[in-house]
Amino acid sequence: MQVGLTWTAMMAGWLFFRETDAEYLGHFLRLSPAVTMEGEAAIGLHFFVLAATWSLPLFVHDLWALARERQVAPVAWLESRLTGLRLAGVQAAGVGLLATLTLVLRSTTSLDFIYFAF
Amino acid sequence: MIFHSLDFAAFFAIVVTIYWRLPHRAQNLLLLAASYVFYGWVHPWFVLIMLASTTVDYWAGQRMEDDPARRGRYLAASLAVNLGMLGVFKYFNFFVENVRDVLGAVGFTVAPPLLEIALPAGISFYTFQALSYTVDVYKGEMHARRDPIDFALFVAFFPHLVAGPIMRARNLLVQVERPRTWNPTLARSGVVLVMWGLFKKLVVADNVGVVANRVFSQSDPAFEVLWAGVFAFGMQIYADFSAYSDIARGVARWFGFELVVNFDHPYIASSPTDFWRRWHISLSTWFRDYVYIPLGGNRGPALVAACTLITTFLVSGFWHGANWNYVIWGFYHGVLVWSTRTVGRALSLPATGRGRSRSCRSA
Repeated sequence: MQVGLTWTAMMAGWLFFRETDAEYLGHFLRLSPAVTMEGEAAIGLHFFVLAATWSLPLFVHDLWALARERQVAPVAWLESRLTGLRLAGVQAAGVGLLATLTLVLRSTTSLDFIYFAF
Repeated sequence: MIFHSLDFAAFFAIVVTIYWRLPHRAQNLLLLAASYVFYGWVHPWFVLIMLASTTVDYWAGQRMEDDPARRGRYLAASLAVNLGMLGVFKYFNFFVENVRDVLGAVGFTVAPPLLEIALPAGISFYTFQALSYTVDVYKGEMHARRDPIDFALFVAFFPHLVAGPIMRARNLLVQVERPRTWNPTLARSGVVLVMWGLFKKLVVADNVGVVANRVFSQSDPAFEVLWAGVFAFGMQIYADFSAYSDIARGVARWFGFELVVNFDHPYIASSPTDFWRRWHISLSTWFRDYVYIPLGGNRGPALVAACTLITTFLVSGFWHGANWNYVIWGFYHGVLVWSTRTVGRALSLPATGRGRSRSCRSA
């Protein structure tokens, strides 16, 4: 629950980071689900599912890290087995898979790295 | 030059091929030249700005050691030049516009000139990195360097130049000065890091970014649409920024360097304090060591400690951009960290998250 609450609080903070116009920011903070028009909630859900789907690899990576931190037995066992040639093989397979997925799934819109603006 | 471009791929291939055929000293010279080419690829004059910072900090470090009675003045010179450059290129227009607005609110109409000048890429990163050197020399925590090539390379090292991780001199400068040997295990792990970074950037960040941009381009989104967009941006910025750090670390490994871990799965943090031990670690530890602790840290009365904490977060927010929304963002996080710590102490809860600082730690 602590992880969930922290995640929610951190996510909410990104509104302040993303919206640079004070007037819009004020307007957004006053928005309420009570005035949502028909169909708009479904659009919001659509955007959420779309973003969550593209973010799936990050969720998987984070869950693996969480399991490692909490020393979940299967994860610890698997990591102890990944040494030497076996590790090299897994790394090679991983790189191949990532390269293929990148070529196939890369966005048609190329965006600058966000932190280049800082 | 951006990482995911053919220009960079060709540049990297040429540099790394020549690099491992050279002795140590020549390697540093090659990397320095390559870093200046990398940085000046689009705007060559950016290199002059970085050279100015490098020259002043190199000189200041030596003067502090040779004339310790006046070391405060040399530190002040370093601070003035580095923060002055930031002030001019990044914050000048912000201050001028706010002064204009305040004067306008009280009846004085002014039209001050604004600077129309590109923000040198990475200036917020390499100035902080260079300042960490001069402050550490001032405090006597490290010796001033007498080799201009090594020092210039410490400032300009291209893999992390534009967006971090911010490296401390006691970490990166030491690696610059030490001979490096080819390590196939390190190189292999570097390839994995680069590939993972490219995947996060080109597949995750850019696709999720399209969703976020669509939402934030609307002037009146519905509540559910807005917060879906906020979620999308939260994932975009994590994927985007951690991707850069991973690619930087992977590329650096191919030259025998180890850069610090900059993101440690921040979205599994168990508290706001834990989040800041995992998010942009090199920056948060920089602010902890060079702003928060010198201001007093958590010592003194509770109100003073709270003000110190929130001030540090305000400054950290402002570092991100010349706009009030970043200050509000910093304030939001400062209040969150302070309030959760206070409540935690009041309830005598055990410290959450990983207690060990990750300052300068390499994976």
